[in-house]
Amino acid sequence: MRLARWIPLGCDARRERNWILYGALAGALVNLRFVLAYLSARGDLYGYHGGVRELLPGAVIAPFSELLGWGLLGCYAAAAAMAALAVWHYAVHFRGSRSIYRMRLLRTHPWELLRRCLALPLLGAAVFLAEALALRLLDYLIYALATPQACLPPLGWDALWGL
Amino acid sequence: MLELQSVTKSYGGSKALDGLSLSVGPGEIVGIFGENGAGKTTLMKCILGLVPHGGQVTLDGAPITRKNVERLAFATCEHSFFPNLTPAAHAAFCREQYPRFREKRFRALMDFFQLPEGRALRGFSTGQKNQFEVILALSQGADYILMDEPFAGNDVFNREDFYKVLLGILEPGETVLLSTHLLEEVGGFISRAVLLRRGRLLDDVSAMDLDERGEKLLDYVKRSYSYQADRVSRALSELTGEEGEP
Repeated sequence: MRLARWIPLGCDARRERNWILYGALAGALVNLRFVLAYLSARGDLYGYHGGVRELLPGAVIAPFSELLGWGLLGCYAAAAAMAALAVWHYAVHFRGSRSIYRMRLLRTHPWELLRRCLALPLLGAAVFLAEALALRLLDYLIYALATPQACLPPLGWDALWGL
Repeated sequence: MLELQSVTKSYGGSKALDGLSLSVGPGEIVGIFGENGAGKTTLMKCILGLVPHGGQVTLDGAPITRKNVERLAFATCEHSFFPNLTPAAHAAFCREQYPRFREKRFRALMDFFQLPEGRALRGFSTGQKNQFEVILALSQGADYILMDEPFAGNDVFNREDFYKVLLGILEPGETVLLSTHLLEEVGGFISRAVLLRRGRLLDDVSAMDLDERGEKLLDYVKRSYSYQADRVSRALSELTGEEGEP
């Protein structure tokens, strides 16, 4: 399935694919915020006793949602930016010509126009939301498995979703 | 038969079309004339359903919908092609979208105008863009081809070539509605002239009637619009007179 068939005629499919990839990369980079916050919180669980690093008695790591903070904001922002991509796809039909006339005079109107304007933005939004979910799960796994059991607050769905 | 009944269209408070009724049969080449703002472009857009309007537009008795819209083609001076696509890519798109796409006609016209098939339209000159716009409309396989000032920006030789080619390639059932200011050039090529004024039908005459009367299209149009031939000389003499005053 060629991407060019799912974007406005004349748009650069490679460039648009790269936009999605950059969005996904930005989402992952913003999520490093969790990694940094987690490493810092995990470090706070330890103290030095006689030059030996050991767990502080009664220390509990911060809740997962607090460490995650705005770590998924990159993914959500990229998903929201897909609305702008959809508008841009429509606006393309007014740039350099009025190709919107040709699109509106097709027997497949309005589906062809909708398909070409919305398919990639919807796919992109789905990719970014899926990425946000995957990162949340990955972050949670790190949180649950890499933290000493004694220092973990109660785990479960509520903790995962920050409820 | 393309029929318009009491078509009205307003932009804000001003009426662009005011109860216009018109019938165009198969095989006609209709010139649509009128001064700027007379409603020529709006008329075409109403026929195509590109703007909401009052009144009725029907094609062989049926309203124009997705089912029959491909029987209409549109060539506009605003251009309706995709500027980043090559002509070859347009042909591929048209083959997919228009079951009656005239591949042979498309190739022949591309060859005739020596347009490069592999270059994106955005790199074409204005004249070439106009040519391609008309080529697309003529190749779509439509029964009714609407052209709105299609030759704006083309040189006189180019336009003359196009009229000749158009007359040569049109099949008996193909109908052309041509909006243009180039009255003298299309006079020998249209079969009917429709005159608009302020959104209303001012006159509607066949080329045969004009021939019988021995009247040229330009003279007929000037007469219909009550053109004042001495307008320029009067204005000039007034201006000159003003300059002469102390």
